[in-house]
Amino acid sequence: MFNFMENEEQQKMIDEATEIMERYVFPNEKYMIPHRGLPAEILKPLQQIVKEKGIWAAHLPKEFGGMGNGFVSLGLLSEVIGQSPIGPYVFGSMAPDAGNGEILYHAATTEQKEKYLRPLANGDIRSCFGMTEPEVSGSDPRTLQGTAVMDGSEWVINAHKWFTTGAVGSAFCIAMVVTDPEAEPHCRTSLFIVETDNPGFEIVREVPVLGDHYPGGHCEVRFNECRISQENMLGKRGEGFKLAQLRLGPGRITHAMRWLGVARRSLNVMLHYSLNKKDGEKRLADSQTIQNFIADSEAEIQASRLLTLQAAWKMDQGFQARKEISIIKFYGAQVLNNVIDRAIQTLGTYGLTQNTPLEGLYREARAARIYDGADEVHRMVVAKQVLREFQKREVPHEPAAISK
Amino acid sequence: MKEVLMESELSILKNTVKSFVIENVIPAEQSQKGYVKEMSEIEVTSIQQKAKEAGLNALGAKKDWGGAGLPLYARTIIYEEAAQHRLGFYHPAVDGFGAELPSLLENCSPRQIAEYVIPAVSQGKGCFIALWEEHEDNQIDNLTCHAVSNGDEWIINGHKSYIQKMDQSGFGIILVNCKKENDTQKPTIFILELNDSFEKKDTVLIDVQKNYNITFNDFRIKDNRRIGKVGEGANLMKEWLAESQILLSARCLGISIKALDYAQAYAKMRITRGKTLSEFPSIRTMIANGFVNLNAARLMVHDAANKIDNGKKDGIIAAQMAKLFATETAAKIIDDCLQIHGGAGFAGDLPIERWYKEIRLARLDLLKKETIIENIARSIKL
Ligand SMILES: Cc1cc2nc3c(=O)[nH]c(=O)nc-3n(C[C@H](O)[C@H](O)[C@H](O)COP(=O)(O)OP(=O)(O)OC[C@H]3O[C@@H](n4cnc5c(N)ncnc54)[C@H](O)[C@@H]3O)c2cc1C
Repeated sequence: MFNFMENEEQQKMIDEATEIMERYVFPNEKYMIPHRGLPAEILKPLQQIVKEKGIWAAHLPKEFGGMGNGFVSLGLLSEVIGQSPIGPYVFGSMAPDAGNGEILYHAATTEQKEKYLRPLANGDIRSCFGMTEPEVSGSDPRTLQGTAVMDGSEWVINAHKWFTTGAVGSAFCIAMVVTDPEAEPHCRTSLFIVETDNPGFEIVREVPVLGDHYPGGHCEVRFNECRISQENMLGKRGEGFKLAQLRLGPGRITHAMRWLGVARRSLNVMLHYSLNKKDGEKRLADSQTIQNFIADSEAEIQASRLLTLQAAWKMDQGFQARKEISIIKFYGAQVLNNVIDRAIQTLGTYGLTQNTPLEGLYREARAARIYDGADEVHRMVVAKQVLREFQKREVPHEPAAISK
Repeated sequence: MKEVLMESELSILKNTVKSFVIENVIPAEQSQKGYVKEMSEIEVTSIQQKAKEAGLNALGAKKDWGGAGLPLYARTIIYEEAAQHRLGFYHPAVDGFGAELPSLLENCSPRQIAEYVIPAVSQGKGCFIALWEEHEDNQIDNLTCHAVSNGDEWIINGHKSYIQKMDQSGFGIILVNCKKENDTQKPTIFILELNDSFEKKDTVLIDVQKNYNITFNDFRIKDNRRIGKVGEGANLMKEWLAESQILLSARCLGISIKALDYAQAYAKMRITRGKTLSEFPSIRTMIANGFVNLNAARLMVHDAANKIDNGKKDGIIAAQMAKLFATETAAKIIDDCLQIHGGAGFAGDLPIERWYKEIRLARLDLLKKETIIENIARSIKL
């Protein structure tokens, strides 16, 4: 069965979200503060509007105030709200809280859910995720060095992390550290919920970075003899790697669809400018060079969108869709960067001023080729999977070209 | 006459600049705490003093003006070295060698030279260029800022945008379309003083470069501030564009070298899946390709500089080709270098993050790809 249409419910969700974006989100972008997002007094009332419409926290099930929809619907909504850097905050599904919410939903105890997930899901608190360490390759989490050691009834964490996104202002951090150094590489780490007012939790600094759309910065943090009770282990001992993966699958659907929102918005800026700006007698839109920019962008956006929705659909059918997810991660991130780059090229230096959203989007977009797995890693995953599939198929070895 | 330097002299010059950057510029930059965005005026003055002592100031300015009178080719060699530090792409040697002055100032009257050019050279200050407008940063013929003749003065109306380094300039020049009675518009250059009565507003481009927009409302300027003849302005500006394109390209070479250094060092050190990054073909390809393109870019930059120095007709187009290739090359090298560093590349602890922004600007600055490609097509009578 092939069906490329939004169903009635999805269309209603998209229309409502679009209206909120146009009425409340885009007009408030001017109040955005670099690395801090919207001030609470502006953000909170907007979040309330979204909650009343019933399109809040689409990634979470209804029992936690979310929408409880499948991945396709989640993706479709992400595309709309992703157009603005503040969209995901207004709609309660921003990274890293959305991913943390998902881990908590799947792995937390009932008490942990009440204490951490409920206020997180409601947007009352924010959280962060501490996996990456400066000293070792984030692409290979088996090399993590931070540790947690049992001491009586407590765990003592010592770790040095960075790119802990949103740490400033977070209520808790989900930390991934080694608890079982002797175990198989994939079973060495565990997750812990560390409250940020723990005296052993230190924000060393906000790392200066290229993009400035994420509130709470990308922080360097230290866990110094950080003592936490046994109850704050998240999931089972040794499950760190597995649970972190669990967070990444759906996260990549929402990322990829958000990027499409950004790409579409950038293309729209390019279209508007090229229809209005004259280059001598002609409009830019009449130039074949600009038309090529437009056509290539449209083709790439469509391709990436279909790939992403197909991956989401597969996940809704219960497949892991690992290959599909890896394809959209590296392909979608590149499309995002390509389209914004073309839009800037069309506007010229004006595209680098603060009069359009392009320069901020351009800076932020570069990270998409790194976080949640660098391009090179996902290409590797795709290639290996394709090779495996080919080998399984047992195709007869016919020559590729038939010579006369 | 510009001085002609022997290869051996150039090699000494190159080494002098390299040592200067290592001994003075990089330590000054590193002595700033935290995330360095600019140098304090005190630091710049101190470096300018040291540069003067080393004979490294006002490199392109004529000897009569108090400059070193070096040809473009020699300056490409100097700036390739001088750009090799964090702020070096748009502020080579943190502006310690003083600003480059456009050679079109040779058309100034003796009084203009004495009043504007010589003082600027002696103070290490430059000349800002008010050329582009908010929505026009490529076609000199489409600019709208204009002047109407009024006795021995002109009345200017309009605006200019994206003016770089206004703060470090002793004076400026502007291109306006002049109109006398029923005449057609004639592009002409005038000198601007810093305290002239135009409105001035600063902006920051792509979070990294401070720029100025200036607006003129019936601004009156005396005809004796004119440089060259009425109607000569566009051609003079094209000469300035060519020189600036070559110098920008030379700086592209500098940051490309530095970015490749960072990429190589990190690739050899960072271990993932039990191997150094340098063992992965994806990474090896990025770095090796960078070297190929860097070498090609350098040949194009030197070729263009020599052509301009020797007054060759195709110098202008050679400069554009060099600019196109050098900026695209540096952009790719910096993008790859950022990628190789992963999160560390996105962070501002290394200069790559700054160069990523600056190179995006440089791809548009001084004519963008599409304009250059069209100019090349025209130049071969396509
Ligand atoms: C904006 C942003 C937000 C982030 N937020 C968080 C967060 O909230 N929490 C958190 O824990 N982390 C976060 N990260 C960190 C991110 O997950 C890591 O940067 C990422 O996993 C890559 O790890 P690394 O930076 O250590 O790079 P490395 O693993 O050192 O890799 C560097 C580069 O090496 C190359 N490479 C790696 N493996 C291979 C391979 N197999 N073959 C070929 N080339 C390869 C790639 O080019 C890669 O970019 C964030 C990063 C960014 C940029």
